[in-house]
Amino acid sequence: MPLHVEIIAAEQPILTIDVEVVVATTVSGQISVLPQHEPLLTLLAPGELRLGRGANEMFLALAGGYLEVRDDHVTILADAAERAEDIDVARAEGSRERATARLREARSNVDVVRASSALARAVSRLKAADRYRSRGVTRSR
Amino acid sequence: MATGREIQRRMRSVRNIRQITKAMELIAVTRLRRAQQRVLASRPYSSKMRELIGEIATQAGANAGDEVVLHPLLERREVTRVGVVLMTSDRGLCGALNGNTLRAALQYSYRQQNGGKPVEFIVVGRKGMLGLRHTDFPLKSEFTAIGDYPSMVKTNPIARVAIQAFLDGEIDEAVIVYPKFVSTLKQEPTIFPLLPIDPPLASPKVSVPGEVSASRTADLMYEPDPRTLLSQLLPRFVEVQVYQSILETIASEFSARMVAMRNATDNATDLIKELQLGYNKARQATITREIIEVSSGAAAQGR
Repeated sequence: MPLHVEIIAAEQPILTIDVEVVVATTVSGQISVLPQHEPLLTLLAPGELRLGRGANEMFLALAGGYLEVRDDHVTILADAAERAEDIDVARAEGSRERATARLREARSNVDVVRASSALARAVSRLKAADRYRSRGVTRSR
Repeated sequence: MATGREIQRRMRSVRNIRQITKAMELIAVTRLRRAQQRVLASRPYSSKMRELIGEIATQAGANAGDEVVLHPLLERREVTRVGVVLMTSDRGLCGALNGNTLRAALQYSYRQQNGGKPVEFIVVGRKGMLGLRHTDFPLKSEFTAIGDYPSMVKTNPIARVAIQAFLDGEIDEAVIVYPKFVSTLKQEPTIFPLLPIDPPLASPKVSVPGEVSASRTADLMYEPDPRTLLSQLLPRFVEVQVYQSILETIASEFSARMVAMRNATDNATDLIKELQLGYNKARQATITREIIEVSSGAAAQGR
């Protein structure tokens, strides 16, 4: 019995799909959700989301959010979500550089927190995009 | 009686106006459709979030006891000062929309004030700003140029002002006054309680005898813990509600403008018809006069 996954962002629903496994990055580490998982509500950290069915995999970059598992229904409320193939690598790299620079120049705690979360989001986008590329048919590293 | 030429001038001017109002009506129709889609698209997120907050608040609240406040944004204090978030449009030509919303906000605010609770405003939209200028209410913040299709990034600062004011104790209650989109023809000013958050009660744990208790009643595991989850969810929920009310205000603006421009176009059409009749009358009167002049002139020459 597969997992029914709904990824919903604040502005619009992103994706509804049936998969066999969901791997997500939470604030307490990575979790794998398989069918018949215990009911759970967890806080997500910026990072990769992997959806798998058989040999197929889909990667998304999540900026953070919440994940609920209940009765083989996985609902992800995403602060922002991008599919790996849609990620603009140049933009993500720019974000990462800017965030790193801000982190270096940070003068207050607020600056540090903001810059490091921006950095985490940029890195997660780059990682997801990278995954997509390395699994792509045409390109090789 | 105005001369034929004057009437023609007026007709030209009214025709031009009619062209403009017709165009504005059509533009409003397209924008309305898109704005409505965005309102609908935002609902799954907010209703799911409301459900989750209800779950945590109910479950964690039951464990902790009723006196414990799980999070400052849930705290019901004695109200000594109220914050009103007023949603209006930047542009006019939308009929009675902003006037009605402003009036509802002022009625509410004067009531609070007369009850000994001073009110401060957070205004969204230029029309609201202009409307409040002639009142004594302090303006905490003004937001204009939000745009027709704002993202949450654009609207979050508004929520942040209200949240911070509430957490600082500057206000004990916050409401949103906005034009609720009831239908294309009806936009109703609505007062919506924003803070403190009133968590919806999740379904009770006691199952009715005979009813199969679904795993809904099984405890959700919370990671890392209920309080941390709430500390993230609650401000986000406030942001979402502000975002949604802005989207609805925008949809109401386009709807009201569509109706107002359609009326203006119809009025212009009627006016053109009237002017046309007047022109015809004037033309015939002129012809009649000339005939009389010619014939009386001929008669005077003794034909």
